[in-house]
Amino acid sequence: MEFDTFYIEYRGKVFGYLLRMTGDRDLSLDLAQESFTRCLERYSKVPNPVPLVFTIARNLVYDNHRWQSKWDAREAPEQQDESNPEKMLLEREKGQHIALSMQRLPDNEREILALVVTRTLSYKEIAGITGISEANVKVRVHRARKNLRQFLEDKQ
Amino acid sequence: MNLNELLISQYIDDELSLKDKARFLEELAREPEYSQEAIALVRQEVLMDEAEENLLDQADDMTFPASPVERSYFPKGKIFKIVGTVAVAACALVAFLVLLQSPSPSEGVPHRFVLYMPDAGRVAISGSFNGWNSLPMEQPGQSGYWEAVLVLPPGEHRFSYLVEESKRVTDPTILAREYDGFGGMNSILKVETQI
Repeated sequence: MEFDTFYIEYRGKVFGYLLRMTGDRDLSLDLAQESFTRCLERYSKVPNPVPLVFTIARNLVYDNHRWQSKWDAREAPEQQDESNPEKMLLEREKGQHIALSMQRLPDNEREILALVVTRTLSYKEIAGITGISEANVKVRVHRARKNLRQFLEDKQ
Repeated sequence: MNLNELLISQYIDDELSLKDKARFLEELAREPEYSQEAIALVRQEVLMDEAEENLLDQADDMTFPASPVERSYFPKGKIFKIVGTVAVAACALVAFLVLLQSPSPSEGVPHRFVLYMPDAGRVAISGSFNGWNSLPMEQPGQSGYWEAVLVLPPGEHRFSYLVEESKRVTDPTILAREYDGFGGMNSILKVETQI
């Protein structure tokens, strides 16, 4: 697959994953671009770059996480920040309810579910990206879904 | 959480073996609550897919650059990368000369890129037409003008100049521009078909 084709096919998936992880649209766009740029630099040696680009994206999220102390502020997503126009925009968009509920999941569940929802990666590939066993992926993804269901029902 | 519960997510994610599929169907038939849980989680997943579509609508072609930008800086101490880059530039130059002398101009149109940058020690050009590889520009004399002539196929091309291997600048003579996703801009050049 040519890199341009790969980029066009997967840029939305990577962006979606990053947005679910960070809840920040601009940051996700920047990180998505950076992920593909770094992937491009190593692309020639990797037969299947899909897990690689998600691994890079994940590392960027956690680097950004460590770099930005604001990360922990999203622990209380129900309290809408009226001064944040990005969040208000999300409020008006379809699916924001899910996006906010996703932010309530613990980090280790949210990231597994965010990867699964891309419909791009197998449990085995997700295990490789996150460094946990496939059995653990199985458990976490289901626990994440159940918790998400609970959060979605809380707000109805 | 028992193993049968996990089958619901495995079903949603197409991760069931044939034996697991049988177990899953048997469990659905035996336990109405299990069945309701499975249906609820599948519906939830449909909602998530719809949300995903909305996300992608937000991130359309206008949001993403047409292609990822390949950085062309030279990391300090990495001589092999420098040699590789020089080799690529040399190949590009040879390819350019071959194209320039080609008797058949139908494959592209020569375009002269010019940038006035009298204080720069190095200027290069990179764009969608060369895979965003950095191609050094030449400075004829001491005029302060840097130039490169490239044979471009008809169509729309994005590019920028790279000054001192780090600073990207757009072409001041071309008004059409777009964000490159890194806080910078690319110029957009339209090359018409040569008649």
